[in-house]
Amino acid sequence: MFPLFLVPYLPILLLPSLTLAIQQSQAGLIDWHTPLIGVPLAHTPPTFHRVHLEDGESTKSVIVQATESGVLSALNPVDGELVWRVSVDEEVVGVGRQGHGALLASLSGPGGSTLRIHNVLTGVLLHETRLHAPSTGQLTQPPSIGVKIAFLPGSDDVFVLTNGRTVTRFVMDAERGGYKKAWEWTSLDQSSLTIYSHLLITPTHVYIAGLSKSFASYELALTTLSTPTAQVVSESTHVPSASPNDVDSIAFLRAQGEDSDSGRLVYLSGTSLSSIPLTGDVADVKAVTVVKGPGFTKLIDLGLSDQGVLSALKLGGAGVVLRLFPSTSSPPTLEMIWEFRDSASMQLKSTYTGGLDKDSQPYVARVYWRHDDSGPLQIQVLAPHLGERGVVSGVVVAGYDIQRDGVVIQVSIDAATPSPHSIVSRLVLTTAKGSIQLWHADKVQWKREESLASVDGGCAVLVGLPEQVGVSGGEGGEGVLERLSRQMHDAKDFHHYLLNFIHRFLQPSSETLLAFNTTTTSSPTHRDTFGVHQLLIVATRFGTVHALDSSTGRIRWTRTFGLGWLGEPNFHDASGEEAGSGEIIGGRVEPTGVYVLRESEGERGAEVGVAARRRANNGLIDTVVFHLDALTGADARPGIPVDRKEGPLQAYDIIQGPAISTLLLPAPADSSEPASIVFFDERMQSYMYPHTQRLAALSPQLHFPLVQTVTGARHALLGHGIVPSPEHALRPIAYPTWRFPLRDGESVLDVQKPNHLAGRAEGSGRRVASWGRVTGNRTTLYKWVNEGAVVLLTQNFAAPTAEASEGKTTCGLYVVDGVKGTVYYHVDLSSEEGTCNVKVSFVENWLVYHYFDTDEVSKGWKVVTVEMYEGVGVDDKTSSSDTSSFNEDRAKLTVFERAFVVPYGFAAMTTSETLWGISTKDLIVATHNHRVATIPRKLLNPRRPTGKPTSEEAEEGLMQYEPTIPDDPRRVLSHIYEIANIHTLLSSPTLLESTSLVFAYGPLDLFMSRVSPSGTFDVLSPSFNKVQLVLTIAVLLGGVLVTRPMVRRKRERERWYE
Amino acid sequence: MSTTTLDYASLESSSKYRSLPPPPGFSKSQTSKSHRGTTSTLTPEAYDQLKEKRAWDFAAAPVKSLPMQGFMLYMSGGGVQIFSMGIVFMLLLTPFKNIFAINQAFQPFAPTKAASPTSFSVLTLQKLAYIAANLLTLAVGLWKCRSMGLLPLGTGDWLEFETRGRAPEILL
Repeated sequence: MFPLFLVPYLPILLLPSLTLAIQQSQAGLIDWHTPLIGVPLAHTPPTFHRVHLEDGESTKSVIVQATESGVLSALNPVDGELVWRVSVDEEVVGVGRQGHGALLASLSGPGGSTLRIHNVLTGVLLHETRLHAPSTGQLTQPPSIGVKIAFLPGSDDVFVLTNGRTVTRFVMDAERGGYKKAWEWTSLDQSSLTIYSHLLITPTHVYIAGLSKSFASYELALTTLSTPTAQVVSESTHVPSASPNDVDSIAFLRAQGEDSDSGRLVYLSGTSLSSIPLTGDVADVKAVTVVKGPGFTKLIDLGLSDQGVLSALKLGGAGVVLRLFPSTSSPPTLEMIWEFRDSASMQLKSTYTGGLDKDSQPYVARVYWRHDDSGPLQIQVLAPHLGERGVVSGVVVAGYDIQRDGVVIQVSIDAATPSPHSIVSRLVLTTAKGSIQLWHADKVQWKREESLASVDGGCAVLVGLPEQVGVSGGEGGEGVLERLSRQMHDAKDFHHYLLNFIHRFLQPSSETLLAFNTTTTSSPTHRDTFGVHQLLIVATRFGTVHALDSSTGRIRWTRTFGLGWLGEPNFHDASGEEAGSGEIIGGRVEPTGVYVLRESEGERGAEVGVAARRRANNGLIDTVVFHLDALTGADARPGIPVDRKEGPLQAYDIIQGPAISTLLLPAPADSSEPASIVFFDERMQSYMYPHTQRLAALSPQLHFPLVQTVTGARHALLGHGIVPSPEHALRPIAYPTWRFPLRDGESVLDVQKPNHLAGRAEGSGRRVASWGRVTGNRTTLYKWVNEGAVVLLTQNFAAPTAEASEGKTTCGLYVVDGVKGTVYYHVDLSSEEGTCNVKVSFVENWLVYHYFDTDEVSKGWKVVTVEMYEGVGVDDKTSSSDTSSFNEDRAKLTVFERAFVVPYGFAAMTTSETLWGISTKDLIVATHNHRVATIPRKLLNPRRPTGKPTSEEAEEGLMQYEPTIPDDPRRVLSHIYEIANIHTLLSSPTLLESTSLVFAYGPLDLFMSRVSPSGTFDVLSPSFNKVQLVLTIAVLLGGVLVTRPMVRRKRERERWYE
Repeated sequence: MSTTTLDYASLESSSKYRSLPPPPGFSKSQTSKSHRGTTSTLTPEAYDQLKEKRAWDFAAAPVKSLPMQGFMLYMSGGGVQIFSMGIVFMLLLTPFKNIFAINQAFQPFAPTKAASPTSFSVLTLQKLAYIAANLLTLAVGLWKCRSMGLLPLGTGDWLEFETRGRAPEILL
C-alpha cells in the first residue's frame, strides 16, 4: 500500500519520473531543425550586399531577401547557411540597402506602415517604428508601389517614401542611440491621384518622382525638397508633356563618380525614352529626349541607379544597357553602351540583373534559355567599366535543367574582375520550383529548397524503409565449390562486421541508437534495427515532392510534378474541338494530400500517392494522382517504361474537374493489396486510384461525412453512403444519408479525424493496447472508442438580439458520429475577436482542445482535456468499439473533462504514436513562442481530483488538480532552436515501443525529433556497463572452474574419513 | 518404575514391526507377566476412544493456530514484502498440503480394528472438520491476499483479456 503520508508530496515525487524531453548531449543527434526562409517575394529578390568593414580593406557579403513567409533574412553566400532571419508579421513591401554600409532598412505592411532598420551582418534591430496605421495604408498592386527606401550616400541617414505620398528622414540619434525622425513631408495632393514611387537623395536635394493620373494617361509628377529642411523647392505634379507609361517606366540615375548634386530622371513615354536633368532645383523641367520614335518597350531596374546603369528592352525584345556618363562641362550624358547579342530572338527568354564588385563597379548579367523551357541556362555578364564599351563574358550552365529545376524567376549577381578582360561571377537564382541556388560559373555551390516552407497540412507522411533480407543461398544445383566461393564472398565483410560488433558492444546501447545519424554518411536504403530511420515524403505548393531522411533532414530525392497536357502544345479548345493554336497553356500542380498506398513490408519499399489539383492558366482544374516509390522517387504507376521514369513525374488523370472530396480507402489488413485513394466529383461519382473492387465490395459498410456547401457557405454536415452499381451511372456513386444541420449563422470550419487515421493505411498505428482505465479500487472505466467519430469545428455568429446589442461569435466543437450523425460531445467556446482558432487532438477516447478564452475573469489560453468512457460509470461495458453506430448503446457515454491554463498559445497539437500503443500517449504541442514541447498525459488526466487525492486515487496515480500547467523548460523538445510557424505535427511509431518520431512542419520550418513518453524502457540505459557484466560473468566462470576440482578432491578425501 | 505399561504396539494395528521377534535378552511375555498383577492395562476400546478424542483435537488444530497466524499477518503489514509473502504463502499452501495428506495424518488415530486405517471412511467426521478448519485457514490467507490487492477480483484485473473486434461500419 502506498504510504499515505506521502500523498501530498505526490506531484513532487512524480517529477523526476516525468521524462525529460531532451538533453544537451542528444541535441543534433536525435533531432534536426531546418531553418527556412521561404520563397523570396517578387519585389524583394535575393540580392548580394557587400559591406566594407571598418579596416577599409576587407569586405563581407551576405545575400538579403524578404520572403512570402514574412521573413527578412541574410544568407552566407559561401555555403548558403542562414546568417540571421527575423519574422515580420506583415508582408515586406520594400527593402533598402545602404551602399557599402551595414544598414538594411525594410518597410512592411500596407503602404509601408512599419520601418525596421537592421544591421545587415548580424540582424540586430537598430530601429523600429510605425509610420502610419496599417488601416490607413494604401493598398496597391503590387504592394511595392509607392514605397521606397533610400540612403544619403556617405551617411547613415535613411529616407523612406511611404503610402506613395509621404517622405520621412530618419537620422541617427546621438544621445539615445538608434534613430529618430528628422522631418516628414507629405504631398499636399491627398486625392490619391498622384502617387510617388521613386526617390533620389543628394546632399542638397531630395527628388521624388511618381505618376499623376490625368484624363487619358499618366503624367509625371516630380517634387524637389531640400535635404536638410524638407522645404519644398519645387513641386510640379504635372510635368508638361511628360507621360510615362507606368510606374516601372520611371528611373532615377546618378552619374557614377560624381559627388555633385545631380542626377537624371529617365522615363519611358510610349516607346521613346526621355530624361530630365536634375540640377539643383529642377527649375526648367524640360524633357530631353534621348531616343526618339520607335525605341524601347520597357525599362529594367538593375539596382544600379547609383552607378548610373540601367537596362531597357528595345522594340523587338533586344536587351540594351544604358549608362549615364559624367561630364565636366555639360550635364551628364545618357548613352546606350551595349546591346546583348541574340536577345531579340523569339526563341530565347531572358532576364536581366545587375550587381557590384568590391570596388562598387557595376556589372550587368543576362540569364537566358530556350523559349520552350528546355536546354541549359546561359549567362552573359557585362562589365561596362572594362575596355571602351565594356567586356562581356559568357558561360553555359549545363548543370541546370529547366525541366527539372523550373525556370529562373529571379537572378542576382556578384562579380569580380581578377584581371582585365576576365570576369568571375556568381549568381543567385530563384527558381520556379522554390529553390534558391548559388552558381559559380557553371557549378552549383549550394541549393536551398525553400519550397519546403510551403507544405500544406496533410501533404507530409512518414514511411518506413524496407527490411534487409539476406542473400538466399543453397539453391538447388549449387556445387561444393560454388557454395564455398559464395561463402568466401559473403565472408569478405566479416571483419567489418566483427569490428562493428565489438564497437557496438563497447558502446552503451542507447548511444548506438543515437549514433545512427552520425555514423550514417550515405543514405541507407534499409531499415535500421530500431526503425527510427524513416523517410519523410513532402509535397510542396511549388509542384515538387521531396523525400527527407528522418534522421538527418537531408533531401534524399526531389521530383517535380509534370503538367501533363498543360505543358504540351495544345491543339484543342475547351470543348475538345481542333483549335490548332499550338500554344502551351501552362499551369501549376497543387498537391492536396499525400497518402501511403503501401507500407513497406519485408523487402518491398513503401509507395505513396500524391493527390493534386492541376490548375491550368486558363482556369480549368483537373484532379490527378502521382504514384511514387517512396524509396527512390521513381514513378510507381504500373506499366510505365523505364525511360519515362526520369524527368517530371507523369500524372494519372482522375477527374476532368475538381474533386469534392478525397479519401483514403485503407488497405485490407492481411493482404498485399494497396490502399486506394477515392475521389468524388461534383456529381458524387467515385473514382479510385489504384482501382480495385474493394469500394464496391465494401460499399454497404462505407460511410463518410462531407460538408454541404450552399452558395459558398458551409452550412451543414452531410453523411454519405455509397451505392455500388447505380442505375444511371457507370461507377459507384455516393448519396446523402443524414444531415447534421447547424444553427443559423453557424458554418463549418473543419472536420477532423482522429490523429492516427489521417493519411495512413489500415492497421498502422490504430492499435489500442488497453480498452479501459483501471481505477484505484480495481474497477474499470471502459474506453469509449469509436473510429467512426469525427471532430467538427464550427464558427457561429449570433446576430444582435434584444438582450445583446452586439453580435457575438462563438466557436463550436462537436464530436459527431460520421456514420450516423449522432452528437456525442458538444461545447461552445469563445472566439478570438471574431475568429475561431480552436486546435484539436483526438485519439482513442481522448480529446484535447485548445482555444483562447476571452472571458473577463479567466482570460487566457486554455487547454481542455476530455476523456470519454462507455456507459454510465465504472464497470459498465457497452463494447463501443465494435458495435454498430446504429446501436443505441454506442451513444451511452460518460465524459470527464478538465480545463487548464497554459502560458502560450499552441499552433498545433498531436499525440505521440507508438507501435503497439502501450507507451503513454503524451500531448505534443508547437507553441506560439516557436518551440515544440510535450505535455505528459498524467498532467492532462481529466479525473485529477480537486481536493487531496484519496488513497485509491493516489494508487491510480492521480495528482491533485491544479488549474495551470506551468511552462516547464524540461519538457521542450526543440532544444534551443527557434521553430517558427508550425501548422502541423506528425507522429510516427518506430520499432521501439517506447519511441515515437515527431515531425513538425508549417509555413516555415521543419523539425524532427523523438519522444519516449514512458521512458526508454526497451533500451538499456547509457550507464549500463556491458563490459562490467561480461567481466563479472567471466570472473565467476573462472571461479567455478578453479574451485570445482578443489571441491571434488575435498569431497573425495572426506569420504575416506567418514 | 511406573506401574502402568503402555503397549504402544497394540495401538499400531497394522504395524509391520508387530511380528518382529524381540531383540536378544528381551522377553515381552516376561515383562508383561511380572507386572500383570499391578498394572491396569487399557482395553483397545478405551484406546480407540482416546484416539478419537485426539483425532478431534488434531482436526481442530488449524483453527487453534489461527489467532497466532492472524497476529503474524497483522504484524507483517500490507505491503508486498518477503515476510508478508512468506506468511501468505504458508497460509495458502498449508491447507492444501494438509488436505492432501489427510489420510496419512489421521492414520495414527484410526481405530485399532480398522481394516484400512488410511481410507477416508475412517474418522470421517473428524476429517471433514479438519478440512473445514484448513479451508478456514485458506480463507484467512485469501483475505490477506485480497487486502494486499493480490486477488484478481476487480474487472480491472481482467482488462488485459478484453478483446474487441472491428466496428461493422467503416468511416472513410
